[in-house]
Amino acid sequence: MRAVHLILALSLWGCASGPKLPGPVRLTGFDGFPTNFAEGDLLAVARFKVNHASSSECRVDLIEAKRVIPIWVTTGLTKDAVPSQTTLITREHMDMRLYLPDGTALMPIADLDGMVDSLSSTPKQYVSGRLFGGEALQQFSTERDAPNNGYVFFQIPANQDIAVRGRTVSHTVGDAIRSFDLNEALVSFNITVDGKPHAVMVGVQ
Amino acid sequence: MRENSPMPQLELPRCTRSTLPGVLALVIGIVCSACSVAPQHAANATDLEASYSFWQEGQLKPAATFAERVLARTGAPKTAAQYARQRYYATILMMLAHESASFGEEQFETEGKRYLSHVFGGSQGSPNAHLVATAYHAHQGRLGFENAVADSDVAQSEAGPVQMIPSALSAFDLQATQDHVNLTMVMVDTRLGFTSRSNDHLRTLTRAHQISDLDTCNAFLDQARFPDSGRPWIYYAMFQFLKDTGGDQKEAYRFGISARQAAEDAHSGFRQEAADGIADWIDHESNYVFKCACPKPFDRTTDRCLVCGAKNIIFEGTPRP
Repeated sequence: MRAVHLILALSLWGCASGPKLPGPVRLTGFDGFPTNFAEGDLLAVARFKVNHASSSECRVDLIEAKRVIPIWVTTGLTKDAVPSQTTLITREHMDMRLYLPDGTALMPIADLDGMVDSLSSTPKQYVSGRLFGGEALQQFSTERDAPNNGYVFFQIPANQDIAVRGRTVSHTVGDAIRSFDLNEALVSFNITVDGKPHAVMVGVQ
Repeated sequence: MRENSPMPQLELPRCTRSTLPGVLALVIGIVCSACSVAPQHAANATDLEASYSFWQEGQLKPAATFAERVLARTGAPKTAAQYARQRYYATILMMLAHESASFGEEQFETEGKRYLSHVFGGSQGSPNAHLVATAYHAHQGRLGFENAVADSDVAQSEAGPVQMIPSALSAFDLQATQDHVNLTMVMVDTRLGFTSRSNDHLRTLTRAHQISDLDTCNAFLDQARFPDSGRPWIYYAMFQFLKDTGGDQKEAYRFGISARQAAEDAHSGFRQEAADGIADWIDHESNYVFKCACPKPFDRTTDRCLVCGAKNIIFEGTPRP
């Protein structure tokens, strides 16, 4: 009977101390942010290409291999706008951020060249031919080779326990596991046209 | 042992002895199921109280940490409904912590990026980061509202003597809290530049009539305990809404002036370009010319008439020639 008492006592102690494993903090129903930016002549969209790893041209899961989240950014001017010659849309000037829904802000990878160089030939060719950039802002186009379209690679900081599976992000912070979709995230950057900065905020598609 | 016992023992039938482990498991299960409700409610209540206290003291990281503990503890799909009301308040506290942090850029910057990077477990924090998180939790709060209302009586009876919601927090009336959530969504979208969606929020707000003029709007903001720092953005949202949707331009003027004035009084992060945009509309685009009784016209460099001292807010609009 002592054994029975012991089991009962342990059971009571166990249930009184509460569960050890936290449940996931799953916030559903958040529809993210508007995914088409349009202000004046300026247009922008940001897209997470979930299948980049299965592309025959890439063959590498860049999230897993390099801890970067690739976001395909498309920006440009409306059809009737006059292209400006004094546009700053280089990565260095754009102050890009990817804001996850829990408030985590990711910056573009600092050593982009190093990351590209470390890839094997096939993904290296895939990535280096698709980097976001351009000098002057051209008309908006969703064509892959348009001058103002390309990948921005947002670095997952080494000290952050973030995992991405498909479009789902799991961020473990202390006892909590935050879980959300990348289409609930926000991309921000600045574009300077004729000396005037424009803040672009666009939800991830 | 049985031989030495002074008390007569009940002789269990053989078949019952063989099922003793099963009976034990059943007993343990019953005891555990009986005690598993109250301890969780009590622990949640303690964490909610801690979170609220920290938030009131402006210690936003622990405020969020304690609120998130409640969300983590109650997040399993099978039990989430059981804690709907506590989860609702935890979500609201997460929203409030991020909302307060979104106004604290200077405060955080002085403490360095290291601290900033650990606020709420994010990295490279910024007002925008906190605004995104604020929107996220505000949406969740909106979704959880009906369950929280429905849960209030049932869960309290299950929790027994445990006070599920700390008294300081329960002073936050559910409807007033939900009004705060709706205002927060307007504020976030306005700050992030999503004017069209902000207008949609205002159009569909169930109690929109309570903010359609400045006087009732202020009463509504007070009732919802909306922070001073956020008010310039609500005024600005109303200014844009009335201007963009063909509303009352004289009221738009009052909201615009209030936004400019409140932005000076509160640490709101109100942008100069927004303040300039209001002044540009008053000067050039409005259907009215706003003048004081002098009659000196609106001057964007002052908040009152330099001749008679009348505040801009009481200037009258006359049709623009």
